[in-house]
Amino acid sequence: MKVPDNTKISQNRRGFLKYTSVAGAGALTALSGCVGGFSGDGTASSLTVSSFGGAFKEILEAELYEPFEEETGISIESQAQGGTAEIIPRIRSAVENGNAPVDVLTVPVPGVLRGLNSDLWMTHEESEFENLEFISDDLMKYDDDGNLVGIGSQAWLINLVHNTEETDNGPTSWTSLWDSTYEDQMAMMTPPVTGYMPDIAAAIHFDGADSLQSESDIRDVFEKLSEVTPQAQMWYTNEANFQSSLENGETPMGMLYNDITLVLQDQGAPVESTFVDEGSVLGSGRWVSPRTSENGTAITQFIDYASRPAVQDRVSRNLYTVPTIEEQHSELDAETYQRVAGPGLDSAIVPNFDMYVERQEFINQLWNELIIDS
Amino acid sequence: MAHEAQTEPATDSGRLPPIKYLVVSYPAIALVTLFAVPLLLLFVFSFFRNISGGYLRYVVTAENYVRFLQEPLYLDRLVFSLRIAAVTTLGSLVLGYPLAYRLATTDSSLLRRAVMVLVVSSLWLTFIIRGYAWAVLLRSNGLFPILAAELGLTDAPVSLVPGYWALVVSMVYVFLPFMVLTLYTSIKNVDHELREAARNLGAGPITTFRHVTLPLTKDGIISGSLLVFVLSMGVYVLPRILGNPPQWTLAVVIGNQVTVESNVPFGATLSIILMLVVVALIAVTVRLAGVDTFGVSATEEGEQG
Repeated sequence: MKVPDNTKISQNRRGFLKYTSVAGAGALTALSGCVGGFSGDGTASSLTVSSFGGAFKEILEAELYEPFEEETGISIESQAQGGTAEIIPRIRSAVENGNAPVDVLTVPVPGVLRGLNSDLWMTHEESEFENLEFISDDLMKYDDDGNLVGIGSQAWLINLVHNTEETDNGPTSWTSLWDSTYEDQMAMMTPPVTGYMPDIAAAIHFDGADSLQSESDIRDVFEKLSEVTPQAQMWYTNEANFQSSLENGETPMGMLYNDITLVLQDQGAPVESTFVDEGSVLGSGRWVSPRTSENGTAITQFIDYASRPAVQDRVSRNLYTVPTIEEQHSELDAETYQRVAGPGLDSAIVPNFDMYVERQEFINQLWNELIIDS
Repeated sequence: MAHEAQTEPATDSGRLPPIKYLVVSYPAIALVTLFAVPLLLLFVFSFFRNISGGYLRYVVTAENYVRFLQEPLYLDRLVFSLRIAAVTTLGSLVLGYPLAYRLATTDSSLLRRAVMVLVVSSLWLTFIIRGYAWAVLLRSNGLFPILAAELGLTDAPVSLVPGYWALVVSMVYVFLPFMVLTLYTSIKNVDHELREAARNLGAGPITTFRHVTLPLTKDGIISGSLLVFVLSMGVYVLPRILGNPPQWTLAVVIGNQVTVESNVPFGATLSIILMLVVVALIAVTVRLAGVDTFGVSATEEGEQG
């Protein structure tokens, strides 16, 4: 098995993304309407693919794009992209003008939903693909008419992590967020569409997703959620802020992506990632394409290639993300699979993504009141 | 050259050639393009409606302004922004005045240049770098908490990051050069013979300062304070690096509306409100103080003074 060599890679994957977002978005805009080679029949000689920046981009280039280029002869122009709030408006603007700044993107689910609301995405025929059967059904996205628009690209889990030099036994349950034993010790994620803490509160103290259906129920969940604020020493948007505090023990524990924590471990940091008793929080990305791209055939080829079990496994070994294929199709050894996916996707808390998109303003208002008044 | 100019006739009707209109109107074009149009767009967007999970709807509505008035959160952030801007201004003034006074009155040009370079050089670094530098210095293993513990001020090094005082310290550091440079010019313009005359008449240093230097530098104090206050009201990066959500200024909330919540109309509304508050404060200060500030004077006397 190939030994992961993540020590050369920036320890801050999504944090890097934030800082490269301006450059990435600028590049997207600059490239609007001038995406590379196109033969006229949808079979492009090149594709522009964008993903999260930092290690994500570096590893995808090495483990996905380059092998794809070798096999198909289609060259990939790789780009780093900004966050959902930045990229969706730019894609929308390009699509409205008939352009396609990129051919394929990997976008978190809320971004896919926002794009669907604005009719941005290309639809696909499942029959055009050979490897979709391996992808977990939960990681496929269809529009209201049942057309396929998004295919699972990567998945990631939000775990509880701790500094092993500060505490031998870190928290293992989400209930620790409400436990005054940990007062002023934990790092928590903001905004809500990143850390999905309302879903955690609903899963632990209410009836899960069913408790997030009405505004009244959501208010109840937020009221319970307000009890976590005394435990928060830090609210972070950029992982880099927590990573450094976690490493030096300043903030001894908190919520963090499992894949990033594993990279920190590889770099020798005294940190431990714990798959949470009640289920870690599952986030995931989808391959989507602007409907104005004219490289449909090559896009299908690319996504199909990325959906092969061997390719998914290869990316997971290096990126530590969870493969989007069903577990039985993965050839990762048990130890590696346990390391990246813990008890598996079925045990994870799947956020109520629709709520964060359809009730965006309401949720953010409650959230801001919660954390600012904390 | 003057002869050449004279030989270039105006048009028959006595008007300038079109190209000269372009040259003459350049400042107006730049002002309109770079300031008026974006401001107008901001104002117009503030009346659009945000669609949750979608984009915005081009309908004219005042609901964003109503939301600002109805939700205490935003008024609370505005008040917090005013408060921390006031504290920053006060801190900058208290630290900046003695420094500017010493620089303006020293006979050593070497000292003056050295300190000036030191003060100005901090402006060469971006807010982000300066913010993270303070984050390192104010952590429990940073210089200042360790120093405080060594001096017995605290039992053990206590991290100030993220927190209110970390934000105040960093803001004073970042905006101090603006205060010093403004005050330096003001103090430098005070005729030193007036101070000497006061001393010759028996006034001590404190009396001379209170009755001569301070009144004559009033304009500088108000200009510097307004400059620092206005800049502090718009601070965005430092609260994000050194503060927790309770230390978020209205500027951070505005940024989040656009970059996180994709709510451009409400972000525009908050921006307009913030701008109006700042402009109103400047106007009131200028009116009450009767001083020439930023080239805007309240009275004719102010302009002459």
